[in-house]
Amino acid sequence: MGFLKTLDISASGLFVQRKIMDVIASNLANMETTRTEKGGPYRRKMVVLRTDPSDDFSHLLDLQMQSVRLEGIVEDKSPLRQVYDPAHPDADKEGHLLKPNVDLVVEMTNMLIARRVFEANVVAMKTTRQMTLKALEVGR
Amino acid sequence: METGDMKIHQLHEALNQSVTGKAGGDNGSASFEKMMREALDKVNGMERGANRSIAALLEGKADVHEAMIAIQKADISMRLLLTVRNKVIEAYKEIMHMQF
Amino acid sequence: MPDKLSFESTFNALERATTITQHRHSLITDNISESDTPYYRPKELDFKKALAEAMEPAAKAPMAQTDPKHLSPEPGPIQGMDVFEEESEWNGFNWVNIDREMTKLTENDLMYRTATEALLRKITLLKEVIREGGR
Repeated sequence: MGFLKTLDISASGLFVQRKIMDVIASNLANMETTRTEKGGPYRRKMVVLRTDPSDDFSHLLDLQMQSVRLEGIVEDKSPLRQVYDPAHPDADKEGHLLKPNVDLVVEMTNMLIARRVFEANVVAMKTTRQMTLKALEVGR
Repeated sequence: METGDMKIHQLHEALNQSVTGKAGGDNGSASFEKMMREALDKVNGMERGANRSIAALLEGKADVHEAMIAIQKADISMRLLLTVRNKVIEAYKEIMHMQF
Repeated sequence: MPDKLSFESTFNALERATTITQHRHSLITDNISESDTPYYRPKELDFKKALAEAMEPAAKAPMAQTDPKHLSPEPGPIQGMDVFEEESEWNGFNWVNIDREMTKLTENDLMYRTATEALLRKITLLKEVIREGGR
């Protein structure tokens, strides 16, 4: 299994973590959004990841080395926050308002994790590169 | 490289023997020639093996260390063969210079 | 070149590989430097295909542009290498994925170094054989 494949696997990790950051950024930016195209407040978005054994070589191995792929971006189905704010234009007759189910702490934590995972993938790539360069020194 | 090792080793032994005058007459030289030929084939096979692993590397199917090791094996067996060849020629020259 | 495992065949393949990787390197660095250019589409060349084509010494007719996305053939030593615009994702202002380009840079660089190292070994051995043969 060549070094190219190993690098591609790390690269898929980088790509996915970037996408996760996009989603987190979207959640944070829209924490207080009460109006969307579909009507109703913004609902928190999440990513679903899957393994991606999309290759030619995978049938040669019992133990597959797999890339990661984004299966999709879905909405968090947990209930929206309800607040009492009769002055708000989108409040109902009783003055209740539904706000996005985005928790700042959760998003911040996920952001740290995304960054760490991204960095880890970068380190993995660097290591693969160093190993390959060392292999070139065999018998020099 | 196991059988290759063995053959080249045997070759070296046969060579030493013939230089020190312990080898038998014609029989000795016939088997020597045969050994030389086999060693040559083996080295050639190593070379092709190395080329094969390089082709696999360029296609992305093999990894760098595999190719490097194959190249090394071909390299070493080739150099060993060269050394043996040089010894043969040395031995020949020595024999030719012998004055009876 | 009927024998694919001959010295000559492998030697040529390695030589060609270094040329291709060099060219690909400049494409990738272009992509990276244009990563903030609006509407820029990253350029790529197919390494395996370029290598395979180099190994077939079949006579080539002047290249027709069969696909409107193909750029016109470059003149000079890299003639015959198919540079095309890569399928990729819109990221808001262009189609360049910086992570993907950085990865390709590493991969390409490693391939270049490997090919040159293998080439070097072959040349060194050849020189030694020639030198020893003179004795």
